Amino acid sequence: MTQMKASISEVMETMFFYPVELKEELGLEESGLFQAENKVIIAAIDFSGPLNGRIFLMIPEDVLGLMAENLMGLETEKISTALVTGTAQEALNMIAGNAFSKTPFDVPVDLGVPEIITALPDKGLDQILMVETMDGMMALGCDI
Amino acid sequence: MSFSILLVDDSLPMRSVLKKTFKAAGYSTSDFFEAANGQEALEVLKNNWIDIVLTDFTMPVMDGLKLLQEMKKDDLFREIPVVVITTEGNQKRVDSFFENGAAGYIKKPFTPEQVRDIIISIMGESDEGEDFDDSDEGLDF
Repeated sequence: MTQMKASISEVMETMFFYPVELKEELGLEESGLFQAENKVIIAAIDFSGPLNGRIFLMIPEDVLGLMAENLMGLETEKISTALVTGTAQEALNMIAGNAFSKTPFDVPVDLGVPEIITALPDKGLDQILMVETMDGMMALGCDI
Repeated sequence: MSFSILLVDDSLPMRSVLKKTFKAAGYSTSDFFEAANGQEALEVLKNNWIDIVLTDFTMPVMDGLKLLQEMKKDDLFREIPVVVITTEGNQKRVDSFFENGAAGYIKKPFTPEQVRDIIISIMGESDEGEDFDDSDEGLDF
């Protein structure tokens, strides 16, 4: 998770011009991320190799729209649903890949193709990291 | 100076970012072709004149390394420079890109300047891109 913390800040600031603050003391439920008024987009990516598991990125749709605008430099009306969900997938791909590139493994970690899913696993996630942006909370989760 | 540029990435936003970065670097009159995987890229290459290929590594159907290998096997495509743009940072895998003939490698996350510098090192300076560093618009994705 140390590499994930460094990676999420680097990716959000470099690609999305979005400063973030990690809220390590906060849990998913108390964060209010999944409150009824929030439509949260969930992206997931599998990884395998020296470690096997799945990483999840949870972002409210309105925050994701702003990230997409920043990333592509497009106006709001030009941001389609496909671009919004694609932004979530690409953000997760970069966060995960960048994090694994910071690990000391000699053998590469293979990343799958990121996908959009409708719900988190029923059993919950092994690890969760809440991230505060200037427009709302987002979360990064991991199952190993 | 304009080129025919093939952007290969299964991510629509990433293709959009790269196109914008090229334009900001001064290659604004270039022709952009897009493909969502290596297989689609080979089809584009068969039907169009392409000066440079920028490809992601992890893609469905055919990944960037396989695309690179297929291009190097083909007399018509082997001289086209290929730049791999990926989150991959493992040195062994990066080495494999170059061993298979990649002309350059850009690690995500990247800045527009990093992309610009690699492209210029391969294709040369754009007539319109000389003031790239001083342009606020150019630095903003």
